[in-house]
Amino acid sequence: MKLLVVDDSHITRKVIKAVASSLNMAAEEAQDGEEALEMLSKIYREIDLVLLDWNMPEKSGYEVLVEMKKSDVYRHIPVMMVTALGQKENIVAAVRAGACNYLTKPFTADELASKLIECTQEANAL
Amino acid sequence: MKNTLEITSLFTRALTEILAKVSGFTLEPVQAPPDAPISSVAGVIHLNGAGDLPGSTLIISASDGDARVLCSYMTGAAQNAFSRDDLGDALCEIANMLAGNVKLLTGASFSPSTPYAIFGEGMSVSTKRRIGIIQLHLACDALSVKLKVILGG
Repeated sequence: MKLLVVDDSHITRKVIKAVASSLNMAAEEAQDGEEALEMLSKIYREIDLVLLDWNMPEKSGYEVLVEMKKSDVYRHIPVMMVTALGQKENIVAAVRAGACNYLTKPFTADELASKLIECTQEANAL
Repeated sequence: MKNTLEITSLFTRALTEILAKVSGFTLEPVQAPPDAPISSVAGVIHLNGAGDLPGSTLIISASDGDARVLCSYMTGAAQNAFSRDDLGDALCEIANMLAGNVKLLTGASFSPSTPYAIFGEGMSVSTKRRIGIIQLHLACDALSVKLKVILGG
């Protein structure tokens, strides 16, 4: 299982990678939406799950999600939003755009691990 | 706009919960004068838009040492493993979480900016408009964090 962690916070990417590593998941990192799409164009075959922050410079996580789900190449890759925006309207918009899961910051390591396991099980069931 | 006491209570609750979740520490409010300087590392975020707290700016700051404690407990890495940019990044992320949490608690329609870090000693805020500035100081034995809310509206 390999993740692409997209967040403009280096500290948060570090936290997510540590939790992923404890679950034997590898992770690549991107610091904004533009970089995420650039990386996906090169390594999309290796990526099993994309974790997207919402509020980022250059291109938001929501914009990346919409672009991914419009793409014949990337639309099959599951996306989980990991964001400080926890309002119902954000969650509904993300799910409608194709996100398979949603985690609101701040989160504990256990909460993130549960969500990652949930996503893995859903991906394996497909 | 809510009154100053309500806003102070809201931010105290939200920031205390966030810091407890990311660091494991339970911080308590301590007395802070409204003109207390910003600590040496700060994360800043603007709340853009209409509704409660429109145009407000949140500045969360900590000393270099406290920011290292925070980073260490957030990531599990040693306190000396962080650069100055890492310390600013951590406080920006706390500011981002605080904006999101306050938006959720109030149902306000503001849009949080992308946060940014500022560094320096003894920084203060001066405004030309007659607007309120709320200063919170949360602390426990291991960690001390300041929040300055420059109210807009």
